[in-house]
Amino acid sequence: MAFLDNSGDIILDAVLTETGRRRMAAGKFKISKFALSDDEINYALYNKNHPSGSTYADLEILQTPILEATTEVNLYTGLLSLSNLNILYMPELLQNEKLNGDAVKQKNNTIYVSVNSETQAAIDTGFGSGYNVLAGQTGGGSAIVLESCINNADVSMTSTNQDSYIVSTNMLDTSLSVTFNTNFITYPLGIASTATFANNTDGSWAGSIGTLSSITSLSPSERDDFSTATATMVKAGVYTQEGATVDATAYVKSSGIVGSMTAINIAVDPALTTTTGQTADSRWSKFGSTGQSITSLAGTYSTLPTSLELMTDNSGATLMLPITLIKQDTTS
Amino acid sequence: MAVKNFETLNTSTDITTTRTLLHEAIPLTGTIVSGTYYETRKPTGDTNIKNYSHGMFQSVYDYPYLSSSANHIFDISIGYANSSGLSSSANEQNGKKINIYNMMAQSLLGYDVSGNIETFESDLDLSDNDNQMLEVCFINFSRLLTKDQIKKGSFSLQLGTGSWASPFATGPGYGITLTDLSASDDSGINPNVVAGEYGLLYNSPFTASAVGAVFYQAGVAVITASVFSSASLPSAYPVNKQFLKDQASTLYGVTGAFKELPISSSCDAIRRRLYNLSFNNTTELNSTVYFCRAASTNFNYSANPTYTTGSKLRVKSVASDTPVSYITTVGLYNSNNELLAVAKLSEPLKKDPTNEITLRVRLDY
Repeated sequence: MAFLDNSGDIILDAVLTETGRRRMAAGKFKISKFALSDDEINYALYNKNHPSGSTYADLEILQTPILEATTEVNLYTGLLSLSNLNILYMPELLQNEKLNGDAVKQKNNTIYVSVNSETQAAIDTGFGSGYNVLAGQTGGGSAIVLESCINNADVSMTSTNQDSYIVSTNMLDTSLSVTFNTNFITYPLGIASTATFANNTDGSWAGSIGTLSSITSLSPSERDDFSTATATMVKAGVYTQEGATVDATAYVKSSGIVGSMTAINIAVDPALTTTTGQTADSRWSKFGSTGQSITSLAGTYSTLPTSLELMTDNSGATLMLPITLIKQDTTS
Repeated sequence: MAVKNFETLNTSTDITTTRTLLHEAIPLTGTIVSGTYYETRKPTGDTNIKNYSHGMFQSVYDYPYLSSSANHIFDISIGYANSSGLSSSANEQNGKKINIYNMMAQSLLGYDVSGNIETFESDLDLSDNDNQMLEVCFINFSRLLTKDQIKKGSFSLQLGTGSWASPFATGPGYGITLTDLSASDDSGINPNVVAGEYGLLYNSPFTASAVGAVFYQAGVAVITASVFSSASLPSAYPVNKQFLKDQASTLYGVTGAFKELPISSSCDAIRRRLYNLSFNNTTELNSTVYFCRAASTNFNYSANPTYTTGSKLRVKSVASDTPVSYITTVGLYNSNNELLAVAKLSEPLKKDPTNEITLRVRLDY
């Protein structure tokens, strides 16, 4: 994948994707819409304080070399059409690790998803509780909690800021698209619209995730072997309360106002959920690692790394969440 | 990661189809065809020439054909009609020479009203059975060179008509140039043959009548053997009796070679006399052009993780600053949000609310 020649006029280098070729072979090639992306751009190079003046702020960005188009691609960083031109802050999607008992915490830079209760128990014993979720569990344990928020202390956690920075700019997210690898994950689970994420005026937690339910309505993703499901997000009510003994930051990762929150889990292919002593599915060895020793955990484990690609509906905030499916192989 | 914002393409205003003909000049020098890859220790001489056990044609490559770098450029053969005066059961490969002629004639010309295989003619009217070319050389070009077709009016073939020892000797009449300059898209061609269209090859200025035909879509040149005989050349020219020399150093005229020697020998002689060959090929491109219009109010923000720091836009200092984004990629989707094609710009394109951008994405088929 070479760079494109940028010494002359602007040119467009176009290719059909693998999917496009297959659709063409099947006689079902019909383009009906387009999207734009800025994949190679690093906006950190935007220098508002360029010594030569604001005209030069994007000098380095405009010199970014662009890679050739390839057939197996995806548009990772789409451009957004937001009608409000006065937006200064855009929500981010963060993984919440602070809701004790509800929010799973990352360990070894990943979220462990135990494929059976035997493994979950072993991890709870080794790492302590809250460091793994049990695949397919609808309640009574940890889930992956997410918050769409202005992660900036300049935008404090007040209802007024939530209205002015998020609601009035049409960036209050109401749903979350979850894209996952169908080789391992069968469907995600999500909250009901009655779930709440809020604190009381005294600062105590008033939220309730409720019971997660399966999201089996899936749509094909842009890539092979991936599907997308839509999970519900609800407006959060986590605010700084005057005189409260517990600060709102005890419940959320964000430094600023949170717009919406949700909690999800995933269900895995039942063939992957074998327990110790049973013959493990070949995908563990093909796509992951088996017989591993993990610090603090007794026994050996099979792990299978994957990820969840998350994007909210209104703000377009994205997050690539590292997931590791884990299964205990031996107990000692 | 999925894309959030799409713009729908209006099928009547944003999608259009075009047809474009691209031409490439194809120059072939005679040294490629004979001489460049000659090795005396090889029984066949030129290592870029492939002979077959059936002996019905030769294949010419642009490099020793045993190399994976070699490209097949054309095949060469000769043949005559059963009704030719040369035809005789006593001839070397007589049946194969007739078979080649008939096979090429039925593939390129088709059949007459009686179901008989047509005969090559040096005019555009096949129904009158005059100007027949009963003894011919065939040059069948690879699709690699001709692509969709040879451009009409661009074919030129220079042949040496000197002695075997000096085929390109200088002097009046030594060397002939066959061209189809009288052919064009709408005149000088016969479009009613099974292989598409053919034009005539003239050896101007020595002959007023044509001495061959070029089949544009099939990529085949058919040349009458008489170009190497006194019928079209002054009788004193040595080619009449020195068309080729066999390994026993016996000299043959073109008639003798066609009758007494195998096809490959005549092919060797023709290659040795090929001085220059050129034509323009044609590639027909059918294109669909998608006009991707980014209105002033659209695509001014980005979901790029680097677009914000601490949720604050890097490209703004205050809320009233103009948002800006930089386009590098266009994705074309179907109604199921499947990414069917991707186009990359050669450099980032600034997008803000003060401009509207139309990106013209062309897909060629």
